[in-house]
Amino acid sequence: MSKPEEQKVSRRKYLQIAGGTIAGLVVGGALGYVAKPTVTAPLEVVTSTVTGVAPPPPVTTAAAAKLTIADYTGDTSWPKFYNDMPTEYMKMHPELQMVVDRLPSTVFDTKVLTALSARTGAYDICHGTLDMEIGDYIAAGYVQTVDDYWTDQDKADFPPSILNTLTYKGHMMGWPTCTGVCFMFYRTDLFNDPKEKDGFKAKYGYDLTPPTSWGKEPDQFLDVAQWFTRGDMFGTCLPFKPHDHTAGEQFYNYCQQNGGTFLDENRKPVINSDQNVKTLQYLVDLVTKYKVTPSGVVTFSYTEMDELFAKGKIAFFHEWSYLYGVVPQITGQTIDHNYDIAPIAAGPVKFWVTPAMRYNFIPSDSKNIDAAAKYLQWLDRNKELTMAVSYDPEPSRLSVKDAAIAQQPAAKAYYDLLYDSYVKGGIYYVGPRIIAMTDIIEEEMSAAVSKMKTCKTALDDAQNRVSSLPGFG
Amino acid sequence: MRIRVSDSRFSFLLAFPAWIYLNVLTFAPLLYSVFLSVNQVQLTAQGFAFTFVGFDNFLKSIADITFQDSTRFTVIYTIGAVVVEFFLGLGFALALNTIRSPTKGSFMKATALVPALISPVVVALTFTLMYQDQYGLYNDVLQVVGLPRVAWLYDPSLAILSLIMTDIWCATPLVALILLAGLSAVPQEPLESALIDGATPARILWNITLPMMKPTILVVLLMRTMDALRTFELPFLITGGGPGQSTSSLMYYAYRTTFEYTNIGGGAAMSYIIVFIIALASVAYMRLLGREV
Repeated sequence: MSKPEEQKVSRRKYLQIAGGTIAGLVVGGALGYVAKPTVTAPLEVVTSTVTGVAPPPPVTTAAAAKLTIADYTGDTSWPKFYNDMPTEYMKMHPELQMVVDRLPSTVFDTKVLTALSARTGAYDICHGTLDMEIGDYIAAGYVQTVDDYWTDQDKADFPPSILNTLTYKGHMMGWPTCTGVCFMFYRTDLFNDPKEKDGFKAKYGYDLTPPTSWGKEPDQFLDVAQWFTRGDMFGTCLPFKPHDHTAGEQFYNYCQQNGGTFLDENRKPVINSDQNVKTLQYLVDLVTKYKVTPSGVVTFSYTEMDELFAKGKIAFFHEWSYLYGVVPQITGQTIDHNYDIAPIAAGPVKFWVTPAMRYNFIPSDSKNIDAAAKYLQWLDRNKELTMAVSYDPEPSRLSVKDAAIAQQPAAKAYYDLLYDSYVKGGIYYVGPRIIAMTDIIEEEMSAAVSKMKTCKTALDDAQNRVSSLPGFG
Repeated sequence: MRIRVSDSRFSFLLAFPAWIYLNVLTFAPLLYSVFLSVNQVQLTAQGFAFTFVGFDNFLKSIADITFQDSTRFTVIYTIGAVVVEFFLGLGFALALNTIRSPTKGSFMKATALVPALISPVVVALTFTLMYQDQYGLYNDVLQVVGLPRVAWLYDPSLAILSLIMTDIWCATPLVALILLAGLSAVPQEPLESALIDGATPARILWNITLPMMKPTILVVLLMRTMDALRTFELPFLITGGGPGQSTSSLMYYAYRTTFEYTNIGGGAAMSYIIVFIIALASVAYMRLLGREV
């Protein structure tokens, strides 16, 4: 048998090839490092130009060459606002380049968390729906405090409930993306129909109006829902979809209205209190016992409920205020402008509503904190009216209300209700693992409404599961 | 001085830099995830803070009721989906194998690939709409034929069934095509001999064709089992793991643990438990079917 043929390679040749490859990689890497762009803009004096608010002292800062913004491509119009505004700002600051990274809503939180934890300064500003996740980021030190960019005049221009959503342990953590509260949306063609009014009064003995309360005697919420549940229409609709945070935040409103809450002042869970169990039982009964809601609620988030309302399948329901201008644009809608708004129904103990908590914040690893803060400050002080009138009518500054009504007199009732609601509620929770807590509560809620567990068992399990999370109790 | 280098060693030397590069990209993250799984990881402004906890993350994961529920769902989902996909796919492959016309055969094979080519996200969203209680296609059809509406997604048992049916729609054609490839490789002489000897088609299928297709069957079952054990998109997009936790898959729960609960160490530990389960299933298949391959 012949020997297999061998390749003869000299040691010198092999070392030459390998050494050349490694040297090439090193030189190439060094060239790339040297050639990367750096900030070279000259110093610039920046002043405030807000009308009606005293400008902060002028500061001297190195103008940043580039701001990268993580933006959430949601299905409302405010993402468009946050894409249009950088263009306008860049005209005022031509030395500044602003890049918007539009992230789909399904990956926004994951991508932002990845960027924040990598500590590479990938983003200078995050716009988005990080209402519950923000607590984890703040506790981890990922969010830059912006106390220096909030004046007393600025703070005085916000309702306390909104200011509290932006505050963590006494520090300002950002600016509001857009706020808003939950309203009751109801069908005016139904509620104003004389036949409906007469029939309802004959049956229940009081006038037909959008229900102002639930759980009391008479139970207006249940009565009106039952009255309008007929054929393929339902009286109302509730969200029970897990991990969507719709159900959790709505349930929190109902619990507060019935004298309950999720955490006490020491962050100890009190989820399975008697009040909360009764509240959950009430909501579950609406679905399973009285059947005044569509049966598929365990898959419902706001999108599904909005569609059902716009297509005339629901008589009234609770939804965020943004929907006010959106209903006629929903594909396949049949109700046109035959709807109006009212305060959400109050509970047996009190009225309570939670303003939205969406932040514009600056990651603490941003390399352009000052420039980013100046932009967000300009945005919030100067453009909230523009956003309200042209994009999304959910402003939060008190000074914007009258200006918005002056431009849109027909929306006076809307703005009155919006600002009135801001002062009548309070925030959800800001802190670590709030999203985990909300997820768990929503899972147990969906188990209760699917009859996998009783309401008591579901909330007991929620209590135990949340208590075992780090940082609770 | 000259070095005598054999063919294989010379080839290895040339490929060595690429081998290093690939291993760094593959094993480094793996090793890092092992490191994460034995640590409690905290997010801080200075970066991750690690506290060594040994197997605590693994034990807590196993003791976690939601993890147990997710395991139960994943096993039921895997068995339900893989068994049905295999038998349906085999039937489809046998039918395709009888088509003699090359044009028709090519057309059928191309059409069969369509479900596998559609993005799982698109499939999930489409099926979510079809399963909708009030305005879904399936319930509309049921109503037309006089049957009551079905709670496809909010009854826990039906929600699991709905996800399995969706997976079957996606994967059966691909299973059929792979089995068809195996069928095509079966030599015809033993089949013809058996026919001459008077064996029935069913007998031929059971005693000759399927044993000869064992390698292909092993590949299909292994591939589909691994995919089903790692299912994520359908529970994530269609049911969100609900109602309750009845359709939360292992991968989905590991994802939520890592990215929503920021329990990075726990999520890493869960991932390795999933790897272990998949490895167990692979070993089981190899022992059952691989011995004679």
